[in-house]
Amino acid sequence: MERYTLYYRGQGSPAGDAAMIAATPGLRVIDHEVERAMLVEAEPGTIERVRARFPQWMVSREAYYPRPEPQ
Amino acid sequence: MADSERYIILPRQGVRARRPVELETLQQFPSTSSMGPSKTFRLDALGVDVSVVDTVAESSAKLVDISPEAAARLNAPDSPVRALKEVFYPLPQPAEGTVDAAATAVAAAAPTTAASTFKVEVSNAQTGAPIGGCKVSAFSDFQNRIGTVGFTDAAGTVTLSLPAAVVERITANPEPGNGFWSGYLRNVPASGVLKIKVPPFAMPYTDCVRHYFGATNFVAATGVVVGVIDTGCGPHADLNIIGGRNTVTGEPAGAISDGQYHGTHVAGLVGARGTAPNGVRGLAPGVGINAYRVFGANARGASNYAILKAMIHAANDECDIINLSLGGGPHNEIVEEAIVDARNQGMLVVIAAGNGYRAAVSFPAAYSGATAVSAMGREGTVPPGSAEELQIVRPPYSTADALEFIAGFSNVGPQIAVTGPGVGAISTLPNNRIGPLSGTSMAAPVIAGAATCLLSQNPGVHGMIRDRTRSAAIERLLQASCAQRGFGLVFEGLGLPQSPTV
Repeated sequence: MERYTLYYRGQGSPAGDAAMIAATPGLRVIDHEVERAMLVEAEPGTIERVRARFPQWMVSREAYYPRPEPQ
Repeated sequence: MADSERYIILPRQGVRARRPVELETLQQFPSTSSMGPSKTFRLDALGVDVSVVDTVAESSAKLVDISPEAAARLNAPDSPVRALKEVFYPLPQPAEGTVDAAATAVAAAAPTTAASTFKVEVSNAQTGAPIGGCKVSAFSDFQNRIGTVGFTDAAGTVTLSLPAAVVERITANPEPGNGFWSGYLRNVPASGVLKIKVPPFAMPYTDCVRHYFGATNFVAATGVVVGVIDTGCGPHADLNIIGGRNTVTGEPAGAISDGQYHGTHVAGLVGARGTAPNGVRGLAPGVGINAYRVFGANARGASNYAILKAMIHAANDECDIINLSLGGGPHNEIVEEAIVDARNQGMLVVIAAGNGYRAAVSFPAAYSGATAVSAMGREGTVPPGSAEELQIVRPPYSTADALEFIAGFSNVGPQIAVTGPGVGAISTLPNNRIGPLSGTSMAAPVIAGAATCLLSQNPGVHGMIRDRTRSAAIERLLQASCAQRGFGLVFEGLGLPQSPTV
């Protein structure tokens, strides 16, 4: 299972979409603290289906920026 | 897979399959993750063996190990996919990597040459007392980052080895806030005992930030709010933390204190309200700061999700200016889009260009909509013998002040919007400490602080509807205040803001 960041780019409330995404079989919501963003866990095939079904949500694998280590 | 090399498999055009034959081919690749084992299979249609290392999506990129012959076959005109060699962004280093992080990253890359072992003694340049717990980074080939790292013991000593007879450069960096600058030696034998004397730090001191911005005019009544997206902020009595949030998944939302020291230093450069002789003054003393902590206590870094959440919260909290002193790593469309959204909601987004030693401006600073900041310094604003002297690199030359320089560690490129002082910048550290740090991470909040002052002096702009026009107006205030120093566009963009004293 991989983790993905979803970001709502559409107009209006994303609540309906978010509920349907959360109900997708094989997908687990890890964090949905803000309405327009979700952190989910799913297999690549599952997330591809979400991407196709909900085009107003931008989907990207969770990525990291390194911790700053000042001099 | 013998004699294999790493490639990225993509459709013939773009990154997502558009044609059925492309999708059909890409779907044959078994899915795997970067954390799991690779999976080997044969792509019968093209007659090649492929070891799949990582997959992004069924219809998109695959990271694979394949032979050069297989790559050639995949790139043949009749192939529905293409194979591109994997490439790496130069030094995807922490924001303030400078010497330390570079050494950490490359110690394992040293070639197998006969090692020279030497002892390092680190001491206070004034008293001669040993400095324990000091990070020592030694390079035999700095350009190729061949080096090693160690920490001094209570006697101020550490033994290191390098695959060379000469140490090209060696730096000693005491723990930030422990009352020291940093020390260094250059081109010394990798044998015997190397003695590094570290200048002690004491206030008052006119660093590069106060040299340029010693007397700024911040109008608190305008109500400007700055968001600092970082390691958290404080505690520090001289910071006016009015809110914020921890956006790291799994951590309490209210845990916004600094998990390291970086965010506190950044926040202080924007708005510390300390007073002479022992305190430190930021550019906008006492400005309200929202601290968004995106680096978790034990995380490997700040995730794109944590940054996205922080930027959404910053908009909801009506921040006017947000500072991101972080960067490195590959392009990420989520963070790019979050910056666009932040701009569309009226905020100026100031981002450190990165410390890749003249590498290209790192992401997210390189995104359109970001105000990317390079770091400059000035001779005479750090004590003699401090390692900050290593950052004096010319060309390019300033035509405004012969003592100025673009910091050796600073990334540069056409995306640079402005430059700011970031070599030996003094600011707040957690638990009411003060100390110097260097990096584009320091230059960015100086610029954020300058923009804060300018916005505070222009209530008409501050009162605009929070949209792209507003963020553009804030950007123009900053741009109009800048004067080029003669370094050239790729190094300084529009130059250094004039101190907003009016």
